[in-house]
Amino acid sequence: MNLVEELSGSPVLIATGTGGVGKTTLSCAIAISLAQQNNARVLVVTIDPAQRLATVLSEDHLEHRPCRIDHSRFLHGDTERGEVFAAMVDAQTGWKEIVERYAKSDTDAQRIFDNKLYKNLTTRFSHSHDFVAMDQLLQHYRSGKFDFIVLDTPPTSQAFGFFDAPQAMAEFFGGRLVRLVTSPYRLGRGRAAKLFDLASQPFFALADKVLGKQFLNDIGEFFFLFQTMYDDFAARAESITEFISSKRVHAALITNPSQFISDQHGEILDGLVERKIDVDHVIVNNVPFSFKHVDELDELLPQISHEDGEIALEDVIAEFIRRDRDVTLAVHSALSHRDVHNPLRGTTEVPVALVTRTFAEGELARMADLVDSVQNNSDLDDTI
Amino acid sequence: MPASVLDLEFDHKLLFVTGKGGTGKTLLTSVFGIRYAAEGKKVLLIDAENSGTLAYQFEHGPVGYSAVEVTPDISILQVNTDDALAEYLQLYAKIPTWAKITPLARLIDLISHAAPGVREILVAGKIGFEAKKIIDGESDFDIVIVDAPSSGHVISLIDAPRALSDMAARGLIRGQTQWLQDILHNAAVTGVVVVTTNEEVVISETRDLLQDIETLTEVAIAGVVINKDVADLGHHHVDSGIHSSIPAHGSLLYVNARSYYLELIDKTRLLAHTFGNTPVFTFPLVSDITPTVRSLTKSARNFLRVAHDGESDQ
Repeated sequence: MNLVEELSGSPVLIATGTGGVGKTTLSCAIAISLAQQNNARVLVVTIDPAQRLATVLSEDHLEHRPCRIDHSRFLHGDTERGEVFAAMVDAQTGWKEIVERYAKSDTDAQRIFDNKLYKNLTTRFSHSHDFVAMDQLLQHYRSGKFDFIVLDTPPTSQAFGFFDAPQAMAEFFGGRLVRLVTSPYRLGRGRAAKLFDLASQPFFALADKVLGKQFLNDIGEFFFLFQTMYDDFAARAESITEFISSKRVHAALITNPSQFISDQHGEILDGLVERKIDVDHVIVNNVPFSFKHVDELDELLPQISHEDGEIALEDVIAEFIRRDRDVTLAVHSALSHRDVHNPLRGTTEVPVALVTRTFAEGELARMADLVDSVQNNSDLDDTI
Repeated sequence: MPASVLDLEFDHKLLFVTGKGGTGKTLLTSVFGIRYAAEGKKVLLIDAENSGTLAYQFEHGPVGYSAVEVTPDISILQVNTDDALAEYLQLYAKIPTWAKITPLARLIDLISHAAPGVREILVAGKIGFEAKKIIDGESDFDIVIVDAPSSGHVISLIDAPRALSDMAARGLIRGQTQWLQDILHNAAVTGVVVVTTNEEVVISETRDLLQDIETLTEVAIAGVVINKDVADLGHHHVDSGIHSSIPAHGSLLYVNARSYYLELIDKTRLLAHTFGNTPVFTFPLVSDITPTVRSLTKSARNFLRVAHDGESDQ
């Protein structure tokens, strides 16, 4: 089976990995390949505010709602099959939907939107972005409009942190501390009780001294309003967690040569396995050369001549090729020694696919090459 | 051609080094440290990400909240919210360290997700305090260089005092924001260095970050560093011959690879002109496959040494 056939095994694929490994680009290439292979309707979802999805798809802009993408541009002249949609989740719009869905009344929803802390929660808290991405994923899956959904996870330093979001959000709104902060509100039945009544409690005395009364009040109101919808919110978090760890969802860990060579991806895999995430592929993106070209490069390198006036430039290029040849070899050596590196890890169980770098110029041509490389991926471990 | 980082002449007391994840913030923080120490300055590096990789680059074990000299003239400390809060309460609220601050630390942790600047003000406060000591002539150091959080998160850090003063907060934390703003908003004292590479997505994110720093904060941008620069690889100046013809031995693979690398080199040259009036510096690609940042720093040291030797030869 090739890579795309294997990835066609379940309807939802989560592309996970640290920032800067090419997740967004590869997610798109996979989505296009899934549409082609299965003649299917495929949605690719991202929550990266940097508009990168639009850039790699050569679109002016994308929206929060799925938009149809003309993927025939990325097929090197092949006839297009299926349909590809892209959605760039906007965290603020996503939160607005959540609040409107669960608030007890329009007045409550408006009070939340007006709270000073609300905007910051929706724009700054990274778990809150992750949560919105998952909420949207479930929403789109349940709509039944798509055969496959590929989710490009937000860039983080720890790839598996993403999967902690539902739990983290539920705890955020339901913890013991929150009950403490909202107690003046609960005493005042929705209006703040006088805080100085509580100042006799050491905790409030200290918090008041450091943060100030008004600030504590804003915080209290914010959490109080959110608590009114806590049950629905927690239930949603629960069903998201259940969905993510179900058989319908699988994950691909996207990594790059340097992470793979130094076995950093193993640590990420451990984190994912711990969270019961079904990782069925490690994809090493941006491998400089195909392994079969290394011999050719070895023949080539000594021939790069030092002609007059071009010495420095050709030297630089030869140096590039030498480095990238070494990277290619190191990736393949890491591939064949995986079990030696880490006998205890599940790494050996997970198949590894290598995606070779494209030399094409321009976003369009590069994406087309990448789609080609994903579709015809035979560069799996058995090449060693 | 943009200047090499060797030529930088920042006269700041406080530098924040930031950029998109994976561009080499930590490496460049170390390189700056080595650069200033070579000038005879005493350098304090602050690991504001609390990740430990900064000390690791100097082949040193984990450091804590107090500065540790990891190599002559370079010291490192790592900031975390709990220690910063404890120190803060001790200094300003006269609350002894043995007092139970854990619930308050947890509250701050909790609300920091929703309230801007509460957690960051503690970290920014510690950093600013070190810079203030230099200004007041009460420090052992000459410059503070911060391995800052990556794009997006760095704004919350450098803008914390202002964001917090915009909130209705009246407590102690609010009272401490003014002196910190005075330090952070003084372009002669404080600057942000943004690290980028010549990859397209990184460049566009770098542009966004520069714009955000300019529009959302009042902290000055000191410069941009193009890391993994390839135009000057191995000290070969490739100004001439960039459009030279393809050598006779060109197989298709070679032709493709060559034009790919040429495009990389070309792009880097053009890149220097895309950041407006911001000064641009370059740092060479030191190694692509060396797995640890530690050896990258070693290469950086070699790079600096080689370059300095080269200068003295002339």
